[in-house]
Formats: sequence, C-alpha cells, structure tokens
Amino acid sequence: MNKIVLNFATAGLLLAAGSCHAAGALSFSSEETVDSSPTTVWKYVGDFNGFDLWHPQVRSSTVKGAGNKTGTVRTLKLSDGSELVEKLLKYDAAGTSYTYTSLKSPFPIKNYVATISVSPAAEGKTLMKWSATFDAVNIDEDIATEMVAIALNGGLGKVVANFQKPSAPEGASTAGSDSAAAAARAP
Amino acid sequence: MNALKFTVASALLVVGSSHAAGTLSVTREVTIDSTPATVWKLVGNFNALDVWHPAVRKSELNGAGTKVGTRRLLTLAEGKQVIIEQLTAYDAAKTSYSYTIVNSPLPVVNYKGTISLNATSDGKTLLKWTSNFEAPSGADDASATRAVETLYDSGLAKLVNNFARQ
Repeated sequence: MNKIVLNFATAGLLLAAGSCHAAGALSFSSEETVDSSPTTVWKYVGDFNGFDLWHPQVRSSTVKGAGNKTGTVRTLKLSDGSELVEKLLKYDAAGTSYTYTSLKSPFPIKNYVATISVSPAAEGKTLMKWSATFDAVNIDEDIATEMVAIALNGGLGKVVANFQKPSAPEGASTAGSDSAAAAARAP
Repeated sequence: MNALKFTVASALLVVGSSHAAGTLSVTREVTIDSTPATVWKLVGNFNALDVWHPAVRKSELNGAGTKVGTRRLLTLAEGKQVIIEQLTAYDAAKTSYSYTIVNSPLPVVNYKGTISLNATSDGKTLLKWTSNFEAPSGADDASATRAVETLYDSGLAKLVNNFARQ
C-alpha cells in the first residue's frame, strides 16, 4: 500500500518536471490466501491460456503456438466484447509463477507488466500473489490504479471463492452407506 | 426402462449371481455459459477434479495425463477417503473421456463413467455426465444411485457457477 503512495509521489515529481516518466511508474499488488495446495491452485491459474477459467471478466482465451513458452501471445475476450492481447515474458513451472506484458488493451494503461505467483502458506494452503507495474495514459493515475486493482482483485476473489470450503451441512454423516453421499457433499 | 433394469438385477440376485455390469445408471446434463473450448480446459484435464469438484481436495496422477490406463488418486474433502479412477478412453477432438472406478468408498461396483461436452446452438456448452454401475452385495440400488447422483449434482453445480456471468 505504501509502495503505491510512493510511486504516486515519484510520478508527480516527474510530471512536475515536464518529463515523461519511466516505464511502469505505477504499481499495484494484491495477495490472498487460498484454501488448497499450491499444486491444486496452480492447475487452475497456472496455464497461460487458462484465464477464461478463473477470471470473472474473461470470456475466452486463445493462444497461437505452444502454451507456456516465453513469447506466447494470448488473446483475451472480455465480457463486454473488448479484447486484450498479452505476451508471456517468463514462465516458471517449478516456481509456480509467470510474468506477462500487455500488447493491446482497451484500458488507458501502457507499459503493463504483471506477475502471478502461488506459493505455500501455513496449514497447507496457498498464497496467491498478483502484482503489476504500468503507466496511465491520459487519465488520472489513481483512476488507472483503481482499474488495475479491480481487475486483479476480481481474479483473486474468484480463485479464493472457488476453493472455499462451504460450511458443513447439518446432520452430515460419514457412517454406513451414506458415506458416499457425505463425501460428495462439501465438508 | 429403469423398472425393467431393476427387474433383471433382482432376478440375477435371486439366483445368487452377481449382476451384469451397468445395471444401474445415472445421467446428468447441464448447460454451461461458456464455449466447449473453454470448459474443456478445466473438465478435459483428467487431473483437475480438485479444481472443480467440491468433494475433491486433491487429485494426483499415476501415468501420463490423457493416456488410456492413467489413474488418478482423488483425496476427498475430509482428507481421509480416497477414490482411484482409471482413464479408459480420451477423445480431445470430441471433448469426451471415459473412466472406471478402481477403488472407492462409494457403494458402487463395476462403475463406468463418461463426461462429454457439446456445443449448443447459442455458443454455450452442454455437459453430459453419465455412468453405468451396480450396487455391491449388501447395498441397495437406491443408495448406490443416490450416491452417484449426489456426486454429479454437487460437481456440476460448482462447474456451472464457475462460468456463470457476473
């Protein structure tokens, strides 16, 4: 959070001096604890072409060429029909993280570079982190940051919700022939 | 149709034989608000039931991803019970796969299941999950059928919700 404030200050100084600022002067980062293992969560979010599975605003994702290779380009169609084109810069399966940049976007943002990573958290859970640096294009920087925050938090929220354990149903039993039904219900 | 099948099963039980494979069956169809190409990324992964089925906590693969014979070990949400299933057919072009249950706490035997996706006329996905199985000796047909129905319904509800437009 403090990081954002600092970056705003830096950008402000650069603007005041009449200079164009360095690429990626703004930043936003968010993280959530997900109630499943990193291995399982990575199946959901680790495919560069799988954004249409877990991001609520993305309706389809298509790639040209092999899936998770550096340089792979994905085209994302959003719910409102607009399109994003993004390129994979770095993919680390062992480290369960990938970094990409935006080539085309309907948002007033440029120099967008983002990293998604999952790592082990306490109790066998997962810490999912999504961070981005970018610049605003003809728009207030706090508005640009807000747009990025909404996109990132929207994705993280759905991942958290997907692995959230529902509360146990009343009278749940694991005895006898009801065990299958009990197993099929969420705990 | 079901009545006829039940009758056949009963007759076999009466003569003390194990009944024929696939005496009982469950079929569920749901419409999912996304294309088959997108839904298949999730459903077509034989090792991703831990992502989309609320009863499955962990899925581990024994073998290569989509090769016939590959087994998956599913740890259920309670963390104790496991199901072992084996891939018997995989057709990426037709977005369909079939599998058998090798070992499970479910009151079913000789279980053969198939999950398949098809496009609807308005660009959505029709998912069909169907199976044939039997109740093991000592368990009744209704319990076996109910167990499979519960498993399908809870999984499909979550899947539909995953692709529901906000």
